[in-house]
Amino acid sequence: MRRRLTAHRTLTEKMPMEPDRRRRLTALTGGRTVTDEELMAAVARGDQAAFADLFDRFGGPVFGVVKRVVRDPSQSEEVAQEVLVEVWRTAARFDPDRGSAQTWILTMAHRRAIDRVRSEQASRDRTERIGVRDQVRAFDDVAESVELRFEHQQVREALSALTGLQREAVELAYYGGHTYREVAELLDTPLGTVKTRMRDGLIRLRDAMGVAR
Amino acid sequence: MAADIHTLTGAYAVNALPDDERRMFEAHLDACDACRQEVAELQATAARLGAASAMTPPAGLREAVLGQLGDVRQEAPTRTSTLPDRSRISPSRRWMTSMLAPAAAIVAIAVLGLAAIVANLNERMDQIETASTQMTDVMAAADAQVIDVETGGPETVRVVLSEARNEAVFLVDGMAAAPEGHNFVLWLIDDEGGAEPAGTLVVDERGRANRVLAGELATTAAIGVTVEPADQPVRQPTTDPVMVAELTTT
Repeated sequence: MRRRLTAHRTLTEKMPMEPDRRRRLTALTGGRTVTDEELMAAVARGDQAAFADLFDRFGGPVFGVVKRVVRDPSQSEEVAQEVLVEVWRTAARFDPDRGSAQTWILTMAHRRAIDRVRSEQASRDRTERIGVRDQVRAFDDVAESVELRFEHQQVREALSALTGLQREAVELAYYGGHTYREVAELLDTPLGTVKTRMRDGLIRLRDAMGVAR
Repeated sequence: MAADIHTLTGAYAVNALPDDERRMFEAHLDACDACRQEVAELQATAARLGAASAMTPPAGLREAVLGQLGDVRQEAPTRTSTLPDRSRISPSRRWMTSMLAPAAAIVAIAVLGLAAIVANLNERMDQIETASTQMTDVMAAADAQVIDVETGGPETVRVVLSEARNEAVFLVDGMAAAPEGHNFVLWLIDDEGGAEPAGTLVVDERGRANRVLAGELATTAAIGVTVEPADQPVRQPTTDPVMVAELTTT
């Protein structure tokens, strides 16, 4: 589950990890695949090669998360670059006892993306209400360059098991980058209900995907 | 709000709380184990939503990022606190509230006599089993001065200062952690009010933190602590200090 191939060109042309790199990684750990957390520890010690490996695992997910929220390609690239450099800079802060490297990195990516859109929003008057359909890109809409893989499939199935309101609340917040107040307005639903649906939707996803932490 | 604050775990995990509510909820998280656990799980869940939407990054991104590494100084690993187990005051929410308030607690402290200090230091040295070498060096310096700071709050603050070594150790107990995404940053403040960053203060789960301060201590008039966003380089304080310990020589 942890191994990640991120340098895909298209949906169908997956590029496998170069044999060289794999050999080197396995040499380091005596035949065992290096975990994300071990890579993070090496990165925290200033190991640039380890960071390159980390990039190959998380560059795609980070860019995907940021792009989902920010939309604009060049801004997304800028934010993704900031996030990845931030991972390098603050790697020593990562504590594997408190969660996985994936969670740490993608939480940071998502928050940075949100910060970008909110600061833009603040400088722009965005009072006009745009229909929900235009706002949300449903999970499958971004298919052009989304990597097709087991993980994607699993998440899609888990999302489809939610109630309509749970799913919309979670997607508008996570993929749309909206605050729960905006979500409440977009869905014309009371604030309390939106908060609750966000939480129980995520709990249901957590259980469906067997997420520990 | 207070009654249903626990239900905000979901909105928090997907970053759907506006800034003010996010800060408030982080203060709550500090005191609520159940929420902290749930948030960790829901953040992991949200990260799965993110991982599933991975996209091929633009062609230049890898090189741009890797090319930048040499120019970016990495944060040093944070030390775990090794303060002896004194009668401890548990981190209180009052501190958290006062920390978020812009008003600063100004605390004047005086340098104590040397004799009492050596006795005190010896006792403390015995209690400290795994203190880092650097910290031990400061505390063991012949001219070490131990300065207890009256904070007026639940936290206990002590500074061990060696002018000969130009180093000091800043120790706190009973302090709540910085809000998520923020750090406590220490500053050496000179007579003219100029502030030099002197590292971050990482509070452990027992409310303790320590930090070795190196710098021009002879010209340092006060040591300040501010709350700074963790994701930005720290050059100047961006918030009012939550604590200022003035070093007055008597």
